Amino acid sequence: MGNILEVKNLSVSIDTEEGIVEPVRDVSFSLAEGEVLAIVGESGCGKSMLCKSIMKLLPPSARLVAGEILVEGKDIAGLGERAMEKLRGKVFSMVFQDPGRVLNPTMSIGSQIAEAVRIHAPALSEEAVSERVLELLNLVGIEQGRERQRLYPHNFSGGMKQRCVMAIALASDPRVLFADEPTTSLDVTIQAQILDLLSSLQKKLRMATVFVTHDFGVVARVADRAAVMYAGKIVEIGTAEEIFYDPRHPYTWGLLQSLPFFARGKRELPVMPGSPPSLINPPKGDAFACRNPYALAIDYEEAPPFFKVTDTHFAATWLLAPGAPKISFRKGGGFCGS
Amino acid sequence: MAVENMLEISHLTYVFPLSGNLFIKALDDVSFSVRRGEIFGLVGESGSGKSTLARLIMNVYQPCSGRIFYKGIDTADPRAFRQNKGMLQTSRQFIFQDSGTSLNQRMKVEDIVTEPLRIAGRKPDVSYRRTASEALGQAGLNEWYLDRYPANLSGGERQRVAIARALVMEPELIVADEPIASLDASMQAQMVNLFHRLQEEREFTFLFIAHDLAMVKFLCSRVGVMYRGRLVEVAETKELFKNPLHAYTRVLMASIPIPDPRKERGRKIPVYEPDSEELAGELLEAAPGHLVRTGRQDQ
Ligand SMILES: Nc1ncnc2c1ncn2[C@@H]1O[C@H](COP(=O)(O)OP(=O)(O)OP(=O)(O)O)[C@@H](O)[C@H]1O
Ligand SMILES: Nc1ncnc2c1ncn2[C@@H]1O[C@H](COP(=O)(O)OP(=O)(O)OP(=O)(O)O)[C@@H](O)[C@H]1O
Ligand SMILES: [Mg+2]
Ligand SMILES: [Mg+2]
Repeated sequence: MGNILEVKNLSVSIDTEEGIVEPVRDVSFSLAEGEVLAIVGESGCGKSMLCKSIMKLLPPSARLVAGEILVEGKDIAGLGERAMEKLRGKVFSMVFQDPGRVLNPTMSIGSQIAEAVRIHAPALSEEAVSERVLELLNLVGIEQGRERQRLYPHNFSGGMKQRCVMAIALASDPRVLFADEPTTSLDVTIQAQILDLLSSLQKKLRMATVFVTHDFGVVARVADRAAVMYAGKIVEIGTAEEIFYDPRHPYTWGLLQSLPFFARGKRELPVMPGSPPSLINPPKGDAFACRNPYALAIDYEEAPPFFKVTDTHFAATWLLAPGAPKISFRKGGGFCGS
Repeated sequence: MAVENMLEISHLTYVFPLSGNLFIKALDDVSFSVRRGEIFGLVGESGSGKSTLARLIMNVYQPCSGRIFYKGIDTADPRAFRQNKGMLQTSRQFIFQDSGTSLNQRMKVEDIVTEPLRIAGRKPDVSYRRTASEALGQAGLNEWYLDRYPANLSGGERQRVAIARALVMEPELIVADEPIASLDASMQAQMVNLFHRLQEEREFTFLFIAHDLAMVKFLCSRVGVMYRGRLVEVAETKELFKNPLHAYTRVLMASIPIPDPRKERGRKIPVYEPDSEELAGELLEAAPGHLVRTGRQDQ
């Protein structure tokens, strides 16, 4: 199976008054056709910036400082806006985290979806376009599409707006979909419906998806592989089974342990101690060291490389270096273990 | 009276008129109450009217019919609202669902967080900056964020600024519309623990709108379930999760994704087929404190 997307050593910087923010630091991963890669990690760790940098939708103060972005083997990192616009209509699509900001408040939902359909298929007749709009609304579970398509974004509930953004992103039959927290404002039944819709598109159209989420239940349902991000870096990547049943990075352990699912009968939910480091001058060494109960002396000196666990599973922690202490992980056991 | 109600909603109905003869009945005869010092969870289908309900409670909209009592004051009555406006504005706080667009983009985080204090003409004991910094700290953001603008924050960071803004007034009632949906698991846990503490130590009352049932189960004392503008079930949290009675509630519970790929993958999720009888009926007490909407009187 060919890789539709390969990202190599991608780094992004944002200039701010306080200094240079580095939200994406040396990130590499690949994505095969029809594959779903979940990206998880704490708020502010750079998940949205990573997606936007690949689609070249970064804010003006941000820039790609290094790295390659290969789409079917061709590097697009240097492409200009004109060429990128084409790619976005044909290859990439993105469901943004914040539907309120993406939707145009002065245009009806139906015309916004129609616009996306037309960009992808300019030759389509008016009738075919409006049919496709209704089909898309129906796919994302918006009932009475015929009546509702004439309404404006403010007439929709939070979750309905989110689904409209999904409909717009799917209008172009993308080959790679970046879905940034696409189900955060949906109830679990509609969420399941949307996840199943994505799975069917993945099978039917071989659509590949980068799925940003913080919900491990969602990861479990849709992801073939999962990448865990911390302070701008991927710290662990593997198949969904490897991440759930054999996590190796202490940060991944912390994330899994704060799930309410494993907190039955507890008075407080376990929280990872400390807070993520500033992305301005990130610490040398392992950025997670100061929150890591198992940190080794070397963690404060040198950033760990990726250690290979299996052919598909890699983790950047010195705990995997030869001679490091053996630590085992138990779910729901509180962060520091016993 | 054994328990004091912070909020009493009775027979609330709200209709959005659209063009021509088109309208959307967002709320249909909703009644329930929230006790002082409790965390009441509101869950339900996307588009079922939860945010509309929150806006009605916060006087953003005026009900078509029905009444809303906050500490015994009929807040939907314009006169009563005007007479108590100052108190209502300071003692109730609203965390919007879409905080990204609800924050003033031209204001720095420090000013956003302390704005409610300034509006209420309240001077903090120390400085505005310190107060903002403390509130942000509770929401897991350090001083570094004080001078930043919303556009330069991540989704979850903006959401936490909205939480800090609501906390700074030390309100008696917080209506929080999906306040933690955009946060990661650990940060959600931190916020949920914070809400728990505020409720216990300062007797804050919360109306917590959410769709993450695992969080609701952990945090809330009672839960109401909404479907298409109607409240279909209300019960103590334990009771609701042990013994869900309404068909929609059961489907909702069965749809909670399990963080375990072997169990979750390919798991068939049931679909709720709306039953007009089930939805049209009245909300009746099936067991003490457990209300369910049912068409049949014999349930
Ligand atoms: N325009 C900007 N200027 C400066 N810093 C920014 C800007 N946009 C984002 N950041 C910072 O970059 C970091 C990464 O942001 P990003 O939006 O990628 O986070 P995220 O992982 O998507 O978080 P969340 O889960 O909260 O959405 C954050 O710390 C954020 O404060
Ligand atoms: N300003 C408006 N004009 C017209 N209709 C509206 C307006 N706001 C909401 N609605 C409609 O009212 C219904 C209830 O919306 P509401 O936002 O209360 O739902 P919700 O339960 O909060 O959903 P979600 O979980 O998706 O946020 C929806 O059908 C929505 O389309
Ligand atoms: Mg984000
Ligand atoms: Mg809502």
